[in-house]
Amino acid sequence: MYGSPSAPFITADAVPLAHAYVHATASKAGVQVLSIKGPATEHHGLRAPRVSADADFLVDPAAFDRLLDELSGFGWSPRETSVVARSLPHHAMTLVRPDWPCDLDLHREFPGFMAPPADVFSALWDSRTELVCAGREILIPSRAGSILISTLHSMRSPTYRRESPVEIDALVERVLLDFDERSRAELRGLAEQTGAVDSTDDTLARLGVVSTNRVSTPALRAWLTRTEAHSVGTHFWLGAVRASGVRRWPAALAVAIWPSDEYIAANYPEAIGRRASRRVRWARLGRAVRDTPPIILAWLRVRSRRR
Amino acid sequence: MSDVFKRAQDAAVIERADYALVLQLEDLTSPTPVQLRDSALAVWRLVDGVRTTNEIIALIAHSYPVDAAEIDAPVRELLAALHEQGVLEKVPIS
Repeated sequence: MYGSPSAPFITADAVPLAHAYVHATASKAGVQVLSIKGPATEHHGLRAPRVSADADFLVDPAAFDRLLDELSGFGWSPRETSVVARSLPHHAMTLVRPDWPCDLDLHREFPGFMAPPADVFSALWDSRTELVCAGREILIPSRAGSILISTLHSMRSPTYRRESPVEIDALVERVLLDFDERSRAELRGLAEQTGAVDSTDDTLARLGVVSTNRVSTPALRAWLTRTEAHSVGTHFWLGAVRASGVRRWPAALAVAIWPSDEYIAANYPEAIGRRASRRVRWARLGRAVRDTPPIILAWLRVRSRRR
Repeated sequence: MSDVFKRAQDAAVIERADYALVLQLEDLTSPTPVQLRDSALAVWRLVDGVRTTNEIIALIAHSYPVDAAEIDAPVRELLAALHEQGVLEKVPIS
């Protein structure tokens, strides 16, 4: 620091520097990477400017581990995660450094794109564009790519029921300000290439994008069930019980309903003492009771749509 | 002989009204941005790859105002330190 006493290193400054830093690291390591969400969304006029809490990147899946190794070598380490998060498929990795006030979120794939991750990345990469961020050139998805990512991101949020319609309404409104036939064709093409036609169909319809290139896969049905049921934890546990196999259902269900003390300690560090721990358990159970019927209904709706 | 400096090409920069943050990207192993405020910020803003160190000292002395001799050493030390940290590059003088 030069001049008067140092001011804190704030997130609003750290995020653009993080984008520039990761692109420089990726470039030197020969890894293709796209900055997604915050700067890309704002650059394409898809949301009003606001400070992002972290810096998000979509990384060429084939080179993901190489970039991870590179950044780990420079002092970035994975953020401690809960037992649930560790047991979920790793589509992303969050890296932190003690002296940086923002996380780096590296995405190997982006949930909701149903095409193979390598094909998704390739389609987004081929249509990429540039943006100057912290005085450096970084690469971001095209406007069409950013529309798809923003839509999927909003739908995946745990608060989807409450906030996402508002977010998606705002997104659609902004897109339509400047959206001609060529833009529609571009969005349709990219949605088809990345397998996002079904997962974003409501938004695409509102934008006047029609595609008949639809597919129905178990992954898509799981995505639709999750986004329609508006539940993260219960949906995850039901999926875990289902995946455990019929013979293990009772044991898996028992763990889901009344998990171990270690699980509670790791996932609810604020629940100190037996009374707090018991309160957490009953709250979980309450959420499960509340969320299970909507999940079943969503599952039935998705299932009936297949026919 | 007075040196001429320019901002490092391999650096990311955040410029705010009252400070600047510069992160050099040549050596990625230690990503710690340099924060520049007050007189250091004034010096940074005068570095353009054309002005000599003597000219920068004269401009700072004029605008604060202070005696140029008084700030000569601190400004040279600052420029040398920023050069050392990879935030500034020396422009070859023919």
